[in-house]
Order: sequence, then structure tokens, then C-alpha cells
Amino acid sequence: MRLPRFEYVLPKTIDEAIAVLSEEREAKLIAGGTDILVSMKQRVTTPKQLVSLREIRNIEYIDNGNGNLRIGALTTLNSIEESAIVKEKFPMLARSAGDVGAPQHRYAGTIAGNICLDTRCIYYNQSHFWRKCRPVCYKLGGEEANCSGFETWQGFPSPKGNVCYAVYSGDTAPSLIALGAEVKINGPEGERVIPLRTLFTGDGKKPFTLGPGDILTEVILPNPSQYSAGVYLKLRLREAIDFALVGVAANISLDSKGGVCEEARLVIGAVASKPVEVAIAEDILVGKRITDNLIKEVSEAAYSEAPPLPNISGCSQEYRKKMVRVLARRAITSALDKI
Amino acid sequence: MKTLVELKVNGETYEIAIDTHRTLLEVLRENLGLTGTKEGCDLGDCGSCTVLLDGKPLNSCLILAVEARGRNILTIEGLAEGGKLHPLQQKFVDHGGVQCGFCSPGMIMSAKALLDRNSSPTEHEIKRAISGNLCRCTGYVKIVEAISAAAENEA
Repeated sequence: MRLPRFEYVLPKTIDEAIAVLSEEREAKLIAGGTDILVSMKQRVTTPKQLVSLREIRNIEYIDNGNGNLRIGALTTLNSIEESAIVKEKFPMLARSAGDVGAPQHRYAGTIAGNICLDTRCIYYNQSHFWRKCRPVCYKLGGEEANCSGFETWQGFPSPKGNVCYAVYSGDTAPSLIALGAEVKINGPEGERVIPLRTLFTGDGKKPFTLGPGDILTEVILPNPSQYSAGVYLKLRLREAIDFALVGVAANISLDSKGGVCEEARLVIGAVASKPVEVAIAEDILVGKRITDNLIKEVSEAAYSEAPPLPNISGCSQEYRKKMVRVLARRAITSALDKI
Repeated sequence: MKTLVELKVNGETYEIAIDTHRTLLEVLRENLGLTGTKEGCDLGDCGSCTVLLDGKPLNSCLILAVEARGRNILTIEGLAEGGKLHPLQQKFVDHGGVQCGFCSPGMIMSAKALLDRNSSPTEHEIKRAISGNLCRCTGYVKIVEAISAAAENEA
């Protein structure tokens, strides 16, 4: 498949890139290109301009500062996976970066690109040839959702109307949210730092709260407390290349080894249009010594709070749903083992 | 719109005018005639088009040719020296790591990237390094054997 034509823009600074993006609404950013070039080949997106970040200096770094770790937007997933400091402080992040795609994607793909991964759907991420036999779907600017295949799944309402059910399947975001990450956004109005969880809208059609001209430039991770550990588990058909069918990130902090739980975050990826935080996990676990029964209670809560949407291919919705419960239990148990 | 781009491929510098929407894979095969690098899925799923950019294995179907300027590109054609196969290529032949041959260039480039960084990889590391390369003859066992033999040879 050939790429559509576009104008290639190579700004030298972030401000230049912001200016281009704010002026031309149909411009898109390219960093590693492993996702957007596929979408462009499939004519899912056909930007007028492609703004490359390649020439911009100083946005590729892993900086272990006071009290936090800062990762520049263009840092590749491979550098994160192999970074000694990330492996030491945030093994969960190293693991989830290493779970993305295949080596070829991780050498090219960047952390900001992975966070800003577009939502996906079996009716949307298809070739132009495949799609043209159906009405234009809502995510592509059509009148209503076109996911009529949903009707064949039991227990799920037919999603006609103005809702897009595309799934967010980024691997690093659930881990980063569980670790309490913030992101720095540079835009026409200047610079701002927001909690990563607020980057997501939950709307499959427009998954991010970024405005025109906004660029995610840095990820900031607060230092982990002494007795804490996180685990990310990814369900997929093959051990490489595939997007997640379910991703579960659990991060647990205790007050001492084998002690009382101070903080517990459970985030489920690839089940909805944004990473889903199981807030009730915190209510159940914090202030208590974690027992098998409590873990069971939390994984039941994850099971009922994060039912997967049925529009990614690979296996049945029922199986993915059950695996949310299994993976939540495994992730919490294995995080506790690591403390 | 065409742009003048300097590409360093297998140690040679080519100055060519290319459209910005063309991928490195297209330019290697169609402009430079280097058809050793294969086009499989063209969507980054199969790894047939793997080349090394500054020593890193990347899918050339997912790189704009203009973005490869100034970087050292190594393709399968750049491995043999003076008509003699690279040790990795030779081991693929010796161990039956080549069946239909379509995945071999990509497999060998991924393996080369691994061995350049890690001269004595474990079986698991080898499998992980070639996890982005699909072999539809499913000859993975022989491929892993060939790569470990090449590693032992180098060590």
C-alpha cells in the first residue's frame, strides 16, 4: 500500500512545530511513525501536512532528577526498555515499553507516540478497500457508529448513534497512570503539566484532551516509595507484534515489608476508549494488610468495572472479560511478591 | 514534491530526488534496485523489510525515505564481502534456516543487530530479537539454530 501525498514539514524547534500545527488543522505529528504511517496507508487518516519532530533537539532523554524521573517525548520505547535507571526505579514501565509491538517498532516508536496512540477498532483499522463497502463510520466523520457487527455479541447494546467505541490499547499509559505520572504539554498558550490520567477523554472518536497545536513533550514520574512495586501484564495472542487484548497495571505501596497498604492503583488497558482506573481497588486495599481474600475482592471489582468493549479482534469478549479478573489477581499478587 | 536526499546505503552515498511520501523500502527497491529487502505486509507486521539504520533493526516500510537521510543504512546486500557470504548468511544455509527465502533477509538483519550488541545471546534472547519477523514456512527452529551457531562461531 502506498502512502497518500502530503507536505513534509521539518521544524527545528517545538515552538515552530506548535505554530505549524495551530495554523493547519489538517496537520499531524510524526515521531517514530509506526502507527500513523499504517493509518495513512490505510487512508484512515490523510493529513495535508506531516510535521516531523526528528530535527528538534533535546526531547530525547531519560533524566533522573531530584524526586522524579523525566523522560523526553522522543525517547524510544527500546531505550526505555533497556535503560538501567528505568529498570531499577520503574521495572513496570521498562516491561510495558518492552511489551509494545516487536523490536522493530520499539526501536522506532517513542514514548509520547505510544501514549498518544490512536484508538483502534476492527471496523476502522482496515484498508480503504475493505472499508468502502460500508457506510462511513462515526470516527471517520460519518453520521453514526457503523459497528453493526456488535449486534452479534451477546449482552452488548447495538452501538448505533453518536458514540465511538474504538479501544485505546497503548501499553505504557496504564503503567504510567498506575505510577502516578504527569505529562508536560507545550501548546500555543505555553507550557502546562497535567496528570496523565486527565489526558484521556474516554471518547473513541477524540481520545485526547490535547487542543490544536498541543504537543506532549515530557513524561514525569514521581520517585517510588521504598516499599512499592508495580506489575504490568499484557494479554495477546502472540508474544510479540500484537496489540493488547487486555492490559493490567497494578502498583502497590506498603508502609513496610509485609506491612499495611498505603497506596494501590489498578489500571486496565485495552478494554475501553481510555485506560480504566479501578478506583475501588484503593478503597478495598488501603490501610489494610493485603490478604488473598482482599485480592480476590479487588479482581472481582475489576471484572465488573472494566468490561472490555467487543470491537477488537483476536478472541471473544467473554474470554477477555474473564481475563481481566485473572490478570488483576496475578498482577497484584506478583507486585506484592516484588516488594 | 520531490526533495533531494542523500542516502548512505551499504557504505555508498546516493544522491536522489524523491517524493516525501515514499517509504525507505520503496526507494531501496525501486530507485536503488536493492530488491534483497522484501515487501511483505507493508504495514509493519511481518518484518520482511527489516534493514539496519545506525545498527538498529527497523521496518523500512514504516520509515519515510526522507527521514533516513544522514543515517547509515545497511541492507542484506551489504553483508557479503568479496563474493563471500557473511557468517550469518552461511549459517542460515548450513542449518537449513532458509526455506522459501522470503523472510531470510529480514531475519538475518534482525539477527545481525542482535549479534552486534550481544555476541553470546541465549535462545530466549534470539527468539525475542526475531519476534518481529514472521516466517510463513514456520522454519523458526532452524533459524534459531543458525543464529546460535553464528554466535558461537563469532565468540
